[in-house]
Amino acid sequence: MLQLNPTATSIFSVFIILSLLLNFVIIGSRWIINYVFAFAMEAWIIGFIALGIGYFSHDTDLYIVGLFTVLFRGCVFPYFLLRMVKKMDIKRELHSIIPATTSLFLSILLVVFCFVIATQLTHKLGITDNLIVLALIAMLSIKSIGFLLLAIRDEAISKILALLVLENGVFLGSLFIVPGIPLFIELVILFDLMVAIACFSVLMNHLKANVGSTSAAELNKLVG
Amino acid sequence: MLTYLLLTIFIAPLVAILIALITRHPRLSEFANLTASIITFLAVLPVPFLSMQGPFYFLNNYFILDSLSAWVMLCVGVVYFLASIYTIGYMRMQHVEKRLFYYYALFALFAFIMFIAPMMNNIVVYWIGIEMSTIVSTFLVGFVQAPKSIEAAWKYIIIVSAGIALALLGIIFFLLGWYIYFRTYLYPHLACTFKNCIANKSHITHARIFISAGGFWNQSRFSADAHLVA
Repeated sequence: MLQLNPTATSIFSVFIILSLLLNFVIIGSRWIINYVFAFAMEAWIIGFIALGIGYFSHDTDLYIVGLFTVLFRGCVFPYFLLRMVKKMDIKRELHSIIPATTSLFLSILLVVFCFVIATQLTHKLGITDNLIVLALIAMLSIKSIGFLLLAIRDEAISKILALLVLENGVFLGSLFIVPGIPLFIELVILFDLMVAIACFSVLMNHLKANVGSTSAAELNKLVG
Repeated sequence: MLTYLLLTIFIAPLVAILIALITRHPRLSEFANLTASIITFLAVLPVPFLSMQGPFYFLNNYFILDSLSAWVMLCVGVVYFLASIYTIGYMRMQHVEKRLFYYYALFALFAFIMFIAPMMNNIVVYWIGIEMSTIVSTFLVGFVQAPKSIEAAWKYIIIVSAGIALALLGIIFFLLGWYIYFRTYLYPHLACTFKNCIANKSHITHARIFISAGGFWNQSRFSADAHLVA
């Protein structure tokens, strides 16, 4: 487990909370461009966390992981997403199953739920480090908010972002919980995400061309 | 003997992919895929029996062959063989002759990933194998490019990606449990990992983490199956 001094712990705590708050920006907004920028900012914060952990734990692999995170998650993925937004000409979510305020309230409830789960879990496992507990809370909360996004948003691009948010949550948690994951695995996961985004992009083009819409609300031909 | 059989299992689908992509001929691609499926089927048949004295490690311990992975490979071999026979008649009815070589290349690639994934000696790389199989199978689901198949492909990739994201969370818990047991982040042999965990019955609390990981994993697979049925 990570052994950090109090200053580093405080800085990382602020970063973790910031990245969690950015998910509220995503869930509280209906403008797709806001989602993309919030996602990019979250990725930058996670990248800085990786660099910081690398610095404090003298793990050079984490420098590379941090740089790749900033490059891919923070720049390349948002660039692809923005290109998709421009190409599809989608500016905002037109239909939403739940209003923004209700989804924000639901997200808060989910965070409280994850707090209870994480504290119980760490207590049972004998983990006393507050930073690890906070990282676990953030990981579970971001994951839950990602699933909420996936469930309540109709636009295809929102669904892709929701999946990327899910991955971000796990990645953020893994930096604190299991920082010893080998570098090549992190890189392969990044490559894997890159391929996944390319596939989503191709599928979105097909959706637009063959179904005539990128909204999940219009995809009702296979409903039993 | 075992090494040659495994090499045959891995190389045959790769050759089929190359033939399909180079020739771009529908009948030749069909033939190459069917031949690869027959070869892999014949090669995979003795693997479960030969692996009984295992586990065997290959390529610097990156690959492992134990009874479970041999059994999964046998199942994949049987399904690949039967599906390759069925798909010939089915795809000829779809009137996609010009792009058929692409379908067979994807089909063989899917088989290759399904063969290689159970042999991964690292749970995270195993997860990557599953993710790759999802991506390839999405294009197989939406291959015909009719509105219904595109809709099915989209729903499939969303549901399965969400399931896989849960599996990744399960893996993180698994690695956390591993660290709590052994105080190290080095996890070289997956088979040894499970064996040690089962042997250490006193850590009931920690075992819950592994059960969660398994649960998440099942969730991931279940969602895929459910959508395929739909």
